[in-house]
Amino acid sequence: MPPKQRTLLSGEVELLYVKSKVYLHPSASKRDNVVGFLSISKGPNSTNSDLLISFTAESQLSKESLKLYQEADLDELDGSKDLKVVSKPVSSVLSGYSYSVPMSYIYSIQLRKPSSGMWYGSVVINTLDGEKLPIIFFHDDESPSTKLRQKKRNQSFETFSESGEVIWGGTEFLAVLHNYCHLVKSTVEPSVYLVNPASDDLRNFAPFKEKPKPGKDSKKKEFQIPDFNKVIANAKWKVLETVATFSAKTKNQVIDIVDEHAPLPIKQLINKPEVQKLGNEFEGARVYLAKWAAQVKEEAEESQKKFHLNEEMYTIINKELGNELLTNEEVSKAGRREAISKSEWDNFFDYSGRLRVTVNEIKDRIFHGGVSPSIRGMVWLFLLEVYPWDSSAEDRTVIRASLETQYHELKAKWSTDEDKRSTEFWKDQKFRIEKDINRTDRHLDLFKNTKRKRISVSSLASNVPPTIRESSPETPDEDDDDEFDVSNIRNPHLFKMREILLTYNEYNENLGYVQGMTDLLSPLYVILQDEVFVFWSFTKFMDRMERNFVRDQSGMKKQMLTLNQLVQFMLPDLFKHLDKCESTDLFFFFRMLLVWYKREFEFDQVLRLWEILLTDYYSSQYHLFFAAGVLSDNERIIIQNLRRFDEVLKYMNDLSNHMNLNNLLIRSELLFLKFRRMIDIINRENLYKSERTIVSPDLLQLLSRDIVVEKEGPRPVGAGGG
Amino acid sequence: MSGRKKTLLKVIILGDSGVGKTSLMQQFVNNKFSHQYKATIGADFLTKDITLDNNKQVTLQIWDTAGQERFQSLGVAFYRGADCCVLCYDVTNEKSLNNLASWKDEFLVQSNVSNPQDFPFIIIGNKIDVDENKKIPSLQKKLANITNNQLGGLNYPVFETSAKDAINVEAAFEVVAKMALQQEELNDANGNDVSDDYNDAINIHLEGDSAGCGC
Repeated sequence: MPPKQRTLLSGEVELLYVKSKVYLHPSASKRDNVVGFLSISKGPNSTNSDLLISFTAESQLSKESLKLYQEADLDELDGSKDLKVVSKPVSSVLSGYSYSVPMSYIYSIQLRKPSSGMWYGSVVINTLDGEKLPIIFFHDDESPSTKLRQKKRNQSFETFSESGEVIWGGTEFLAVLHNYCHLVKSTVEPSVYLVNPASDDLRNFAPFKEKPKPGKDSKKKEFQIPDFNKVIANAKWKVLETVATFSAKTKNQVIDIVDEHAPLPIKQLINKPEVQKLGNEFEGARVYLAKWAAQVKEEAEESQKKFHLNEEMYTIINKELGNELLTNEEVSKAGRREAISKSEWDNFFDYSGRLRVTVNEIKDRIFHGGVSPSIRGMVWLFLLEVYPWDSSAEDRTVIRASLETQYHELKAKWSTDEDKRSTEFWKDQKFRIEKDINRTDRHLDLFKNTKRKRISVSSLASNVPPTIRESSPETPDEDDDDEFDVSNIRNPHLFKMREILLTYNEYNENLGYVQGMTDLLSPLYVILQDEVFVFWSFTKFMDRMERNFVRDQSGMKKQMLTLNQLVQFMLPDLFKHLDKCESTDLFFFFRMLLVWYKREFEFDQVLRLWEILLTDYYSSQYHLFFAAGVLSDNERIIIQNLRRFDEVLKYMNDLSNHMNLNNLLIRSELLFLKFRRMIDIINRENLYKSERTIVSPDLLQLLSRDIVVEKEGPRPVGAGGG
Repeated sequence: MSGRKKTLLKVIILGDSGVGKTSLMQQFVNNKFSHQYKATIGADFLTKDITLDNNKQVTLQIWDTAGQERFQSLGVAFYRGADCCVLCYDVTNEKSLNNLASWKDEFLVQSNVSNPQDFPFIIIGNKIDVDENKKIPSLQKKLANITNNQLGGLNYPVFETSAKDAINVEAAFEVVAKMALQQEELNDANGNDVSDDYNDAINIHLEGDSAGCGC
């Protein structure tokens, strides 16, 4: 039959090459795979640079077109030269999973052959914009043309091609591509071919459009593979790519990979001794894998940054949050800025040491940038309102003197009163305080014992091999205080903290020492290191934190309930899942809320977070938005991987020291802005509707900048300090 | 997952602040010790697989809790489904010994176990590595007095341990495991669906009602 010839209409293309049974893997779950065709096609009057490279999902083709595509797949093999005319492949990533790009828009193509860890070979197309299109996987075992080709080769005893390479769908694609464009192998990454490289690109020979950062091997680092054996490494790589590839659409949604339909390597991973050891808990593998997924996500985000240097993180997050609710101005405001330096701070004040900018401006600045360590002590005295914002330098001298006197008066109430000190209650309080002071932030240089002298007699009796005495990672300082004489505090700073807490009991007679208070005190001490200032800062801080410690725990319960409502309001999908996991009590936030994430971040980061929270810039309960940010950041992983109360709790507890503060700050600000906008919209709608939407008062209170004060009542007769 | 086949035994460690709950758990699970474990806030758990005499494989899920009394009201969130409760005191701190009964009572109230009369408790006196002169005078007599009069005269196993020097820790938790396994089998025999109970507890908790009573 002679080749059918006819002129192409606009909107029609001629199929030059088709490979069937290629897939997109939007997630690791096979269920989500999208099957389709990879094609090269030519429109009317087009040149080679107008040729389209397309992925077309089978589901989007009519019965007729599907048949043409299937025939075209086999064309080269059965010698058919029929013109296959189909309608022009859709050219937008937005229309389902299909996409189509002109050759001239392609920067490079990466071919990754099948390997033991990656069963299917794949093709990655990088565009001139530096964008990575969804990876196309060649399911060679399903594709009629590839199977036929392999069969032919086998018949002629050629398992390998001329170059000794295994035959797979990608090699064929590459061969065809050579006919239509100029391909140059990248020297940086040999699996990458530059498409019609411009001279500039040739000089750089960069595999991707973004110019490589200083240090040629930066590319390698992005996919650096830690630990484990090759199988796992490959599996992880695959995850990384899946994640990295779907960047724009799903960057923060990440990783369906670790579910029951996980590919074999992941299943093997579960059985690895390393995993079992690391997980080390009942069904720990799943928790472990969730963490692992989090780590992969982190790496993927890191690598994304390298590919999208100009891409502002907040725009991505905004996309994810749904930008219809936030203005660009709001979004751009949420970026993080430099910390306030000493000279900038000094410039806020006039010659008399009075503020010449508004408090709100300063708070805005602190909220978005924090302050540098050298001025932190001074700034915090203002933030905690030990110094009024409208005070002059002279006022402050007077205030300081007065605070000094008052402090010593309070301290004298116990230090000069032997009767008081001999009461059971007082002794018990002292014991509790000392017990905790001795184990608070001892890793900080300030709180280490300076001299290595052993006072402890008990240690001499020990005849235990040294291995058992090995200290845990969080306590590098082996030179412990004598544990059984906790009042023997040898570090002068710890000693002062003890004095401060004992004096606080005189200032606030109802509360008494409660665990967690040393965690709140220690940062104040570290930045101020002045007994009087630390004390008064602490009293101010406790004004807002007292509700965390009241005897009936009502303050904590209230906050956890508010957080519960906030999650329902802002993260409904996650809430539904937490409900299934019997975790809606959000018990795992108890520690984070009680001591304001003190145990979740490195000490310096805690200081940064606290000064931001102390501004009350948006809300005096901003720490709850931060909590929502933590949840939102882990939403996908929780939903995909965690099923039970204990698993969720373990995962959340173990986030400690594995969270990215800056990302969470941006995320929580956007959550707040979205929250405020949602409340606005509801209020506006309520004006016009007969059926009003009721927002809980607890949520509405989150818009208030006034601190929530809940004080402990008088101690019941006979009650201890518990 | 393979783990599901194994028996999971949930163990709660209670006791006054500073008696060494975290240390005992760390010593048993990770064989390590530090003087400076931070005061526990909230709750966390570690797990360890052990094989009992009869070759039975079990997984102990050991919950470490805060010693501050007022934080116990949150216990309702995680005491549910416990198979054994470890009551700890410090052999140098008489008050911690005297508080054993209140820890037990509090646990029974919060956990709402089906058999409060014979729920397995075990008593651990920690820090036996210290000098004799620092220990509670006539400890055994006082302890006997407490078990007879306050703890209902039940024969709870008693262990004296040193988390620091790894003395008796393993032995104590082996008994914990055996007792917990019995309790678990008892629950199974009674057809208690722990997870459903659990669900209710959470809902009750969220609605702001007080925790269910132990009766």
